[in-house]
Amino acid sequence: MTDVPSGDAPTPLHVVDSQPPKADWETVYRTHVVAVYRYVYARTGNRADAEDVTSTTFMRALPRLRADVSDGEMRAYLRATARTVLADLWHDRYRAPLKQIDEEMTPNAWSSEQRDVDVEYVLDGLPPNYRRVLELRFLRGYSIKETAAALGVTIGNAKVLQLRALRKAAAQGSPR
Amino acid sequence: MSRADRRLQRFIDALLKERKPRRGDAGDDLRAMQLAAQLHAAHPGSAEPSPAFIDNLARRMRESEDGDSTTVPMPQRRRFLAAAGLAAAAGVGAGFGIDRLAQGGGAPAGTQRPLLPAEADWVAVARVADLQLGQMQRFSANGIEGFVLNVGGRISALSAVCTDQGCILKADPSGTRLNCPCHYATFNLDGTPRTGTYKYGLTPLPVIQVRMNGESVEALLPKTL
Repeated sequence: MTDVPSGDAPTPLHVVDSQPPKADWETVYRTHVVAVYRYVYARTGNRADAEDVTSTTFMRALPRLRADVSDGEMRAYLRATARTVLADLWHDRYRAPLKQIDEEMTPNAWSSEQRDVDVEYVLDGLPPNYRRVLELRFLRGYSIKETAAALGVTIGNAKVLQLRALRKAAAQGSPR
Repeated sequence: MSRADRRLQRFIDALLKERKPRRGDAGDDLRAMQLAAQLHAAHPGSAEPSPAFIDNLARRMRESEDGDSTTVPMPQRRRFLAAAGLAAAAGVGAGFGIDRLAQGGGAPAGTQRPLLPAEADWVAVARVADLQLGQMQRFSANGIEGFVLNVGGRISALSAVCTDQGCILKADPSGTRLNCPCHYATFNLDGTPRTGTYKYGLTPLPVIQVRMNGESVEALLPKTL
């Protein structure tokens, strides 16, 4: 039954990881990666940053990804780690005061259901044209040109309107 | 448009293109920026990570783990392995022992010999399902460090201990050879040393006998005490 490969068989082999030691953290990783990514995405708003922050979070958490910790505890730990990474990003790139970031990021939109509720809350208190411009731009992904056409205003007006709507919504306070 | 308007405008444009916004003082617009991120995330489907990203990150984490285990300062590692070698010689069984077991019959150095333990057990070292065509896997069992390989559909196993100073070999990312992290020795997948890497020839890696038993690949390894 012993098979020894012949001397000149340079077929490239694909390296497989041995299962037992890897499975442990990789299962934990795969359980939580989507939720962490969503959490981070809702706080960065773009794929490039979301991927970077998610990577940094898991690289940092790697030594503590263990299967013998409950999912809830692991999620809380990962969320805390992600928040630290996010706070650094907002502080370094946008010069945001750390204290303010901390307060702003406290509302926890962990699941997508929770996030939808937040969006509704934000949009509900706005004048109809503000609500509409935010819906078109952000929720439907219209370009500024398409948004202007849909609202029957000039492109310049649509730009101004979108900024005003965003600031007005921000001034209403944090969504719950 | 004011300066702050243009800054917020640029921020929004970056988000909608899924790009990193430029560095710049958020000023009074911090909350508006955070809200823009949150609203954009509510766009259906946009907040989902791509499968490629998930796999990529898993690979990076795996590599970083492997890196950690081989970046042990070399003298320490060598000392550890030398100690393990003594244990093997005393019959306790450790990674270093395979070379002596294999060459124990007074064989001249430089010839490849199979591992022939005096008292042996067939030990499962891999699952057949995990060892697809063209794959290899590290194992550690009964004090033996080894690789199981599937080259062209033929399953084989080799010692993973470098015949120079006893360091544990690592699979080259190309999957065509095994590299020693200590002194750059390199071996082919049949265990023969690659020429040119060492001034004096190295002894080939001992071959470990394997057999298939149902779902498992079993190797003939020394009995544990």
